[in-house]
Amino acid sequence: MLVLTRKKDESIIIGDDIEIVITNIQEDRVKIGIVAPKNLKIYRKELIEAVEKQNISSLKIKKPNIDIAKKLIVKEKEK
Amino acid sequence: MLVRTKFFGELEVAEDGVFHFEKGIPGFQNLDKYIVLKEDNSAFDYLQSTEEDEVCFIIIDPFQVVENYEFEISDATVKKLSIEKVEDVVVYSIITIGAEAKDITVNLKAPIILNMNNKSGVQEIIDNEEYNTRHQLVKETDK
Repeated sequence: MLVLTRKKDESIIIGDDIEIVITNIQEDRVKIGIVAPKNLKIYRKELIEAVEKQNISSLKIKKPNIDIAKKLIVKEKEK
Repeated sequence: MLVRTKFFGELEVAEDGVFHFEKGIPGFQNLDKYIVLKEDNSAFDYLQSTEEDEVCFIIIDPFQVVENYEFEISDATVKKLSIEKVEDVVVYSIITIGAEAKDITVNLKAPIILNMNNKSGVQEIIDNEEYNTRHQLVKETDK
């Protein structure tokens, strides 16, 4: 991992099209501005980790519960 | 081709029915081929990995079970899946069933987007803070 030190308002350029700007610095947090092409997705990391965790968790299933669940969904839909 | 499935044993499926997820799915980045198995008279469909039989997600059409669910497909996804028209898109959400069957949650935060035209897919993470990864499907009052 490349680690750079930046002061407020300083920037980093990645490749041809991405710029990272430090817009504000407080004691416990940093505000980061990102300029990037629209086709690049930008996420807070913990969001991706939460989705990963949920995907993994969704595989833990007891087969009998699936049948019960199906009936409950039908009941819910009917409302 | 023969696919070993988690819930339905071995199935013969058409090669052109296989969806390609370029970067896989979060948590399963190494698996990039899935088929959609539909069940008659069932609220659920299944997103089955053709490479790993244990990896089979229970999926549902979120618009059927969640009121006012809507989101915009990101430019990144439109480009990644080469989506040309909205009619080619099918959306599914992954269901999690807890230790008790009534603990059914649906992941509204990260829908599965499929392009039926070129059989590509991705799990999109949507920006809207209103949606989370564990939306209760069966209301508390019914328990």
